[in-house]
Amino acid sequence: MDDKKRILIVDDDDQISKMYTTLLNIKGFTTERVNNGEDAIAATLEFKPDLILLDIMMPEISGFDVADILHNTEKTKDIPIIVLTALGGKEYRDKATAAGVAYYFVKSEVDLDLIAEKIQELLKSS
Amino acid sequence: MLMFLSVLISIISAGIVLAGLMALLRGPKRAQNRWFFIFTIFLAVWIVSNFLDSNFVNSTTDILLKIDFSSILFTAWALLQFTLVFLIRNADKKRLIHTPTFTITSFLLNVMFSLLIFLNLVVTGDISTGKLIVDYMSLSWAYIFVFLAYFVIVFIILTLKSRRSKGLEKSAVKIIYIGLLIALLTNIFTNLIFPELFSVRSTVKELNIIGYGGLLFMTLMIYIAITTQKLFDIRIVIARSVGYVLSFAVIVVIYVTPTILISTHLLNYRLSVAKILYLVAVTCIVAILFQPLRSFFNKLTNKVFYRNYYEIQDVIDKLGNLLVGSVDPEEIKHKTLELLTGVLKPSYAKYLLLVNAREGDEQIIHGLSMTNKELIDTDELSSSASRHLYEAMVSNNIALALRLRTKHDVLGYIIFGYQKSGSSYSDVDKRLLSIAAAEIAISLQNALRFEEIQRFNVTLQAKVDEATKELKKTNEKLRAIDETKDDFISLASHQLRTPLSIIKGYVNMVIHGDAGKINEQQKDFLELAMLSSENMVSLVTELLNISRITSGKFSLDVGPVNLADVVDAEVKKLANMADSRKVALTFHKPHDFPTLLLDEEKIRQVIANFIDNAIYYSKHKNAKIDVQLTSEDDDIVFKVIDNGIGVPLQERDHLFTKFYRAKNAKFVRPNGTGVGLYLAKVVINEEGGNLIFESKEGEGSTFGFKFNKNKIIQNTNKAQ
Repeated sequence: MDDKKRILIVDDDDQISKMYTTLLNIKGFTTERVNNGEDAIAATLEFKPDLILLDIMMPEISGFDVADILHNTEKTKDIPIIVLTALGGKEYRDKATAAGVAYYFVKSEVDLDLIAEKIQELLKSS
Repeated sequence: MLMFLSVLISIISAGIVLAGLMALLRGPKRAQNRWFFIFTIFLAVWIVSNFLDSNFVNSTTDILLKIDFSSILFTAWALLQFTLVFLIRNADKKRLIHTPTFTITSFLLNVMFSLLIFLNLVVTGDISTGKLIVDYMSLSWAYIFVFLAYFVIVFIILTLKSRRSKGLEKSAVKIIYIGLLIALLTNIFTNLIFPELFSVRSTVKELNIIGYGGLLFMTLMIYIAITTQKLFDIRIVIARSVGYVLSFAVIVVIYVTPTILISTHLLNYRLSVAKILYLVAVTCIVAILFQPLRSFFNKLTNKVFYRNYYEIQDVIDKLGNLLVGSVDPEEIKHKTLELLTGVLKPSYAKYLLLVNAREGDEQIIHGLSMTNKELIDTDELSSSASRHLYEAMVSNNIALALRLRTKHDVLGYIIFGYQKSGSSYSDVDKRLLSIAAAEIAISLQNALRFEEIQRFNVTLQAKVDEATKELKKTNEKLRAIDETKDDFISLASHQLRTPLSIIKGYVNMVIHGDAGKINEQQKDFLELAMLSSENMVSLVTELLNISRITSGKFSLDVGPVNLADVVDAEVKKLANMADSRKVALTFHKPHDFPTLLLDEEKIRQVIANFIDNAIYYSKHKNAKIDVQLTSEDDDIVFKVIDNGIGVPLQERDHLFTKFYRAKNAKFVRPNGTGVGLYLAKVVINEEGGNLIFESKEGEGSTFGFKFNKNKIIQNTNKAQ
């Protein structure tokens, strides 16, 4: 079992998830990516990530629902989730917090470095 | 002749009692009516006994005399009681004298005097000479005193009351007053004055009748006073009475004078005064009765000779009533036809109105209106000019056409067929119709207009409902569009930002050497590319915000913000750019800067915008930008001070408006959007702060904002 930390990337936009995969791989993480909510839950149970990078705007099951489900499932509730989304706005942040999300980033504003930093922070503490 | 006098006396006393009875029957519960009745009884008794003891001298005379004197006392007493009850209406204003005590006391007083009279202590009658001679005894003075006292009190009360009363009461009082006066005068004349003037006793006795007549008159006056419920002018009564008297006088003179002359000179038949008075009385009665008798027989003969007799006034009244009671044109037409048909009995009657005329009708109406007559009788259409009309009317069986016309319009006609009986319409009928026409026309017009208004209302309501529905639909559509617009904007911005972040992502990785080592130049180039893409992101955000502002969807996402960190980050971000333009960018981050409640994203943009502007609009030499963030007494102040191109005076007012670009700015930076400062102003205002702006052209500008310290949150107990 390699001691590389595993990160699950959930985003319906392939370009985005590919980029994060590249970035995180370079940073030394093992990554897995899915492009919808259903698969996200399945992958969480199977892949057992140490952290999930979650997009909100997805067809059918939104990121909120995913976060909600994972937060309420015994097996998965301790996995930290970072939401990365185009949606700004207090209501969304609150919703995310309610669903047990650790961090909330708005895509356009955030720095990749910052994200990477936060990820490392979280994983260190876990 | 005594016979006729007796008859008259009977009539008079009967009349008096009758008045009392009627008053009693009309108001058996009212005290004044009861006392009036009692008064009339006593008065009648007195009149009869007085007449009898004066004219019939026999064994009963003595008793009659005593009855005479007792009854007049009781009469006066009853009159007083009546007056007291009649005039003192208000229960709480009872005078001292009107109590049951007084009534009983005075009654007993009367009884006492009657006893005295019967004991021969007041008057005695001597019939030895064949005529009655009245001797006044010792106690007669007391009797006379009491008797007069009653009358005096009555007069006093009446006088006092007439001053204080108003309206109906005052009229009543006046009438009684007049009645009493007349009675008094006539009796004084007959009992005191005439005896002095005429020596013939029999004549005097006969003239007593006038005195009795006066009493009758008084009784009638009182009767009227207590039974009338409405106010009437005393002057009318006097006027009518005078009128009656004068007309009777004329009749009497015209009739009686020749009668006397004829009988005395032609027939040698001497008429006594009594007979003359008798004639006068009969003449008056006949004169009074003539009018009612005449109208009675008129009606009777009308009924016999005119089988279809009706009173025009009755019909008009009925018509008025039914017109007032309805606003429905159909109802009006139906009911008026019913009424008129019932009265005139035509073979048929119907309305021809312009409003809903059929083809044939219109022609007829036109023809009728050409005549310009209110009532067109077919039989009277003789001139050749109306030959067509005549033929049309005959062929349609029209006997009479009544025009319905208001001031401005002709509504149409009511047409009547010939009377069922076959006879033609009388003048009375035609008069009725012309009166009716005016009323019907106005009512019908009103009803038709009312109907029109109602119909109009209904259509109006329908139209309003339709319009509302349309409006609602349009609103829905607009809202849908609005939502899609918003979605579109959000979507567009999302779609725009995604590729940008990817660019940023990869370029960042390369800059960090994640794709291999790069040289200085490569790093520079990539960093410049990064900057551009970041600008792009800013622009998109700005555009998004502007759209949101204009569509009213601009809102603040307020949270705890450490401005010091934010400013610091932005400064760091723009450091490279400043460097490459040879602009010195300085910022001293303050320690322990308080946390504020702001929309971080937006205020960050404002800060970035100000610094960005300062960098871009700097001059080439010695360009310096000082970024300041301070916490003063009441406020937080952020300033970006540069020594760049500044803002010309005339551009200052427009600087913060949408899409505005100052001339010198355009020159330096042709690609600016003119949106940044507008957004900055909106954001600062929304967040509750104040814009700071100072500038001198060619020397530099200061852009910034300040917030009042009440934006600080009290405790920062959040771990992050």
